[in-house]
Amino acid sequence: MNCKKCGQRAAIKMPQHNMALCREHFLEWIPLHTQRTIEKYRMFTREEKILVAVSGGKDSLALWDVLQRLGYQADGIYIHLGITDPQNELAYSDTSCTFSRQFAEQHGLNLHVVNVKETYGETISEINSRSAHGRAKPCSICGLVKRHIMNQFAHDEGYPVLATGHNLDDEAAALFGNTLTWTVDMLKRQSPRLPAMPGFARKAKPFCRIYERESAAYALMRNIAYIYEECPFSGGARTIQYKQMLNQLEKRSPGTKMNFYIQFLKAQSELFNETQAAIPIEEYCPICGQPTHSGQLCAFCRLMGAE
Amino acid sequence: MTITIILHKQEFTLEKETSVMRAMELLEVSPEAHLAVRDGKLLTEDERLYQGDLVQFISVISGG
Repeated sequence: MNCKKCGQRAAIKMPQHNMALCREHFLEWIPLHTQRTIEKYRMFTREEKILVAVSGGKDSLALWDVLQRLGYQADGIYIHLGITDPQNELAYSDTSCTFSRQFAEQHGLNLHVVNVKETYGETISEINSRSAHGRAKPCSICGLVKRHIMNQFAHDEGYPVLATGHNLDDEAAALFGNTLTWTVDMLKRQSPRLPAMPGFARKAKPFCRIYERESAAYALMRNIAYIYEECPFSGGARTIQYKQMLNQLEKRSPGTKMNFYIQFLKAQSELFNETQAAIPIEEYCPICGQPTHSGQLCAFCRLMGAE
Repeated sequence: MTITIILHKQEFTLEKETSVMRAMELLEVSPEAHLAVRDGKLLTEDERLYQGDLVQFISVISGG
């Protein structure tokens, strides 16, 4: 199999684009494709300060690499959740934090680290163990904690944009899950770019049109050291099951995942009244000051037992 | 001589030369969710694996 651009031996085949590329041209293609996505969805400009949510995994580090190569002002935020995996004797958070720090140092980038235990007195494992919901759906609680911290940090430190490394497989899996349950509120809000609101920075997903496999290939080809191990809490997660199902469809019909997601984005304005897509939030949590729909304590402050 | 494949920190051996695609089928690994790496270089699914090769199949699925 040869590179579509130069005819040399290909390093990766991308059937959904009917294309195979060598290492050199793939490393050119990913930033170009990312830049086109940033422009298509008017995510941010080179004049804006961007906060990249970094986990030490392939997607966030690859995204940070691409953004700095494209000339964006991108700082990172790593949230140390205090997760360990006793079965594999792996200090998961310590290890992923080390990968994030190493990447920042090697590239001369600015990384902010927020330690959940030091800031809130409990690790995410301890927070999860406190409730039946946390024990049953640890990823849901973890997502809530991470979103709160990232929103707060972006707001306090004056970052107008928060960029995450969600790839196309992440987005397609979320769409699949929300469609299976017809979670209309989530379907309305699923977007490559969420506009800023009072208290919330703009959210952007510059890798939303890049397959997870391509993101991993980019990290490997760039020799980006990242944590291969999965979070010990993610075993059996529905997201992973949905990704496996979508990959079975992708195998039979290349481009299925891409079409599912991209065509949804095109149909979104017809499916939902656009004026309903962004429900303005005019109420704020009395404890942390973040926007909340309830008019009372936000979900994070309720979780942390603030009264 | 055999072909050694590392998948999820486990070693598997194949006796005969084959393609990446066939090796993935034998190990029941989805090519949509894995990358094959030999000597630090990515391999496409049609690439041949030879006796003495050490190949890593890297899972790319993450999430939660």
